Amino acid sequence: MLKNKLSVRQICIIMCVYGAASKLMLYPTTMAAACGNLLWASILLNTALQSAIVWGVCFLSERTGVTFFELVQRGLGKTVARIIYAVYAVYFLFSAFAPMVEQQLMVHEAFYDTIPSILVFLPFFIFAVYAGSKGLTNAGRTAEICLPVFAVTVFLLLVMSAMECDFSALLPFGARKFSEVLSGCGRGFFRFDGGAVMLMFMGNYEKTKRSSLKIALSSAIGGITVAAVAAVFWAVYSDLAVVQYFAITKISIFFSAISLIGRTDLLAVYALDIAMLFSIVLNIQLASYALTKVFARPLTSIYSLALNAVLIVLAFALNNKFALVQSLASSVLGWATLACAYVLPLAAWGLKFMGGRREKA
Amino acid sequence: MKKLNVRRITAVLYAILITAMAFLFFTNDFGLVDIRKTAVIIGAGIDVDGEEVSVTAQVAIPQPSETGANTQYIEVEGKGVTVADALNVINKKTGFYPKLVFCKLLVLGESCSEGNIFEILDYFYRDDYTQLTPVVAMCEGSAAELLASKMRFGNTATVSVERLLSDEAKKSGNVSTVNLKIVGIDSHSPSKSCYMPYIRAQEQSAQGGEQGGGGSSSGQQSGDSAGSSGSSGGKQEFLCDRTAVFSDGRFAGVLTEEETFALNLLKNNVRHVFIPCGENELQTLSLRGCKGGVRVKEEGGVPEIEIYFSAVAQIADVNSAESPPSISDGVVPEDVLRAGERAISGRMDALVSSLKNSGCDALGFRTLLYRFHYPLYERYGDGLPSEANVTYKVNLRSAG
Repeated sequence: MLKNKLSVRQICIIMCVYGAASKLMLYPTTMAAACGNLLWASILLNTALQSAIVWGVCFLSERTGVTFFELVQRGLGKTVARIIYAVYAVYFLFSAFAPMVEQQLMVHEAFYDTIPSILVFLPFFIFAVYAGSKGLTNAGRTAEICLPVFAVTVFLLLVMSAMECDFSALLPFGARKFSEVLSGCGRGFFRFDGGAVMLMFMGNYEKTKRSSLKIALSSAIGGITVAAVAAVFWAVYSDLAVVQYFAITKISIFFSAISLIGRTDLLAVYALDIAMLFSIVLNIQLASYALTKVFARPLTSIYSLALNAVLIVLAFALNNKFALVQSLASSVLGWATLACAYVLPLAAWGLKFMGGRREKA
Repeated sequence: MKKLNVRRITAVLYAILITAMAFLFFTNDFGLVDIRKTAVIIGAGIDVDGEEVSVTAQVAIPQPSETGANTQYIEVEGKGVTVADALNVINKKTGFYPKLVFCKLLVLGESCSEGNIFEILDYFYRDDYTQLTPVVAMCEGSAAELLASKMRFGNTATVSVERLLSDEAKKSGNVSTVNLKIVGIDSHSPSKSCYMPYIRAQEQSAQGGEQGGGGSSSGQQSGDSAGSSGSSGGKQEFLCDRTAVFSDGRFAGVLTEEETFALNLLKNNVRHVFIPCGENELQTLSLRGCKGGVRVKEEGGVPEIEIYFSAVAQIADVNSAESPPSISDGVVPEDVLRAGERAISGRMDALVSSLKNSGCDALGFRTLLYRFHYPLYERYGDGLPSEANVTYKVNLRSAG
């Protein structure tokens, strides 16, 4: 029997840890290119939007006590609910792809001296098939394991980079136009899918006192962590940040002990990578969960296998086309995120009122 | 008979498989250890000859030896239209992949000063497999010859220069050590200026010491590699107490030892420095607790540059004999402190004059104005550093 029950604590950790872990690879570099020294502002703006929508979905979940599937089913019928969940399955599948490619490139660059074959990344899929076949409860438990790993490693990497930071590089605030910050928000928008994730969690947890606020705050803390790492990244590299890919692996390399004893910071990066991998796999788990609703059969192993097969095909088809992947992600996936993580959660409130009126009638 | 728990066994097998795959995923050490593959570039020198770029790599090759001499150092030269092209030639000549991850030193030959240094350095910012940690310096003459020099202290040229430009040396205020990151950031900042140590080699007489050797043998050549000219003469020692400055990527001059010292007081986190001062009786002051830098202030809507420096002074030595009681007193007389302040201000003034004349903003006036007084930057930024109104605030306190 597939378990999909989560606790509020687990959701908080998922929102904070996974929400941040998936954004520590290429995102700070792309924001540096878009907004320069105001990269943190763009991240905070997107974080505020995401936290608001996450709070909205949590509140809806508390008010209705049903899953999103049941809510749509009540309002628009089972077929529409299945179609919407199929859309979410596709959305989460593609949401997993861009960070997965980033992860692949990061592993190749940070852990290998020369460019290895794409085949060395295939073990990821073995792990992803297994984890993807597990339910949401499993995602919650792994998030609890990832929390200390994530907190300790990010803290260590920030400490190692502290000596090299020149925070005055973040000044002046007024030299760039607000439109550049907005442009940065647009380019990184596809990464802020917390609303869609929360829709899948809806009805799968028991509400507690101020649970909506706690979950929304956790989402905000995750975003603030990313903004802090991005600010440190800019403080270390300043205008060179735009050519320094995979920020989290680069901020600590000037730590004085590294020149004597080697890249010890990579131990922290290795550990952090575990949290990053789980954050990517969460998308596959959510896609798999959505498919169980679509087909009304809990054949998650098969769904996970199929989803990963698609990812493998995409990985081979788009190998060495990283710029295209990024461009598609920030444009097409950005619009999809707007629809799935912002518009549909708001529409869910409409369904709630529709359902309420129907019940009264 | 106990029934086999297939699900449990499958889970364990799966966990073992994932662990094994994780090793493959995270490491690249499953190949056979190939000594040729593990050869690494520890330092590189770059010279420009017209349209051609010449890269000379000092390569450390681990040797399968039982004699203790387990590392061999060779210099290999590659020529090409770009740095990447030249490195590829090195690859072709030697058969090993030039790993710049371990490159600790990058020396630009004097010929690089003829063009924009970023035509050469850009490669290191583009390449994902190169960190921005190597120390960068410019040398008098050819970088290839410098790397092939036989060193007086028995090390390879890379190791010798690295030692001279170490963090400890930087803290003494004698060398203006910078790495690729600092050069890149400074040059792409509003100041558009950067600096790097300027290395001079000087030949020593044969009696000047024995070559240590240890585990290395320097100067061995591979193919038509460079460096024979440098190794043919006497043993060398290097001086890194001057600084090459660049504006907009172009060479703007060389700062003297005194100007370099002033630059280091203001730009580096120096810990313990020495400065001679006095007129009739010459003293050498030892300065600790140094705090120096540049501030930009707004005075009546116009930017004012303030150069400040403070330190705790002790008399390290005097050019005349003193009695033990006067030495043990430890208090530095006021006139000596003022003489020390005048000496430091003089060096700073010489530095600012030199930078104004060369149009190089190595002290970062424009960057400071941009960051802290952006509206003023738009109006006055272009006039710096040549039209800068500079004041000096030097304060030495006696340690006693």
